[in-house]
Amino acid sequence: MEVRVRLFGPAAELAGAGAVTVQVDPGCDEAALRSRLGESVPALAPLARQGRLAINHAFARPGQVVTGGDEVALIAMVSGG
Amino acid sequence: MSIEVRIVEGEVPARAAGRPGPGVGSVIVFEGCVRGEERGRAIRGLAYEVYEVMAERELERLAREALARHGLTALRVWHSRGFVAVAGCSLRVEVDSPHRMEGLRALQEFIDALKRDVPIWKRPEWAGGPA
Repeated sequence: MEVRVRLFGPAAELAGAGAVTVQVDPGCDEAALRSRLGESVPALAPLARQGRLAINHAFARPGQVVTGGDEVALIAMVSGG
Repeated sequence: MSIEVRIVEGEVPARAAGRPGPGVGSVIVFEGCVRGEERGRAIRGLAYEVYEVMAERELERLAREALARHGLTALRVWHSRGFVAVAGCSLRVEVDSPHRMEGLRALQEFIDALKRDVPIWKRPEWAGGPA
């Protein structure tokens, strides 16, 4: 299954793109997706470990399963205000 | 109790005149402005990138939590997207409450949470760099 992960700020700069697509197994949860993201794009590995995923515009819950239709984003190093 | 969340293009506009409701004894207004330097280097401004739908939802969630936890009357927040020049306002939070102490605590907590949870990123545009 393919999951597209949107990137912003420092994560987008590190990846050189506003989104990346990663291959995951069906039933993949948010922790597995972060791990897979770091493997697919090594430059993102530290942020994928430390950051949080958002699924459909809300922070993912521990163990939350990702499906192919979800909008997924890596939320790391926010700096608003 | 009321909540207002606005993401605006560029600088946050000046505060509109208005009078609080009869139960309000304290109106606290915080404005965050763009400093002229980042990490010791002069800048001409900051460019804000916003994950818009989620940022609005998170700001609303944090505002609801602040109202419930501190018994506020209202919380209004504006945040910039795009470029804000030095000295411009990029964040305004207004907290209405019956008394000042709960408003001051709520403001501190709200801004701390904003900086932790709301998907907004700022990038300095260096002085002397491309316009």
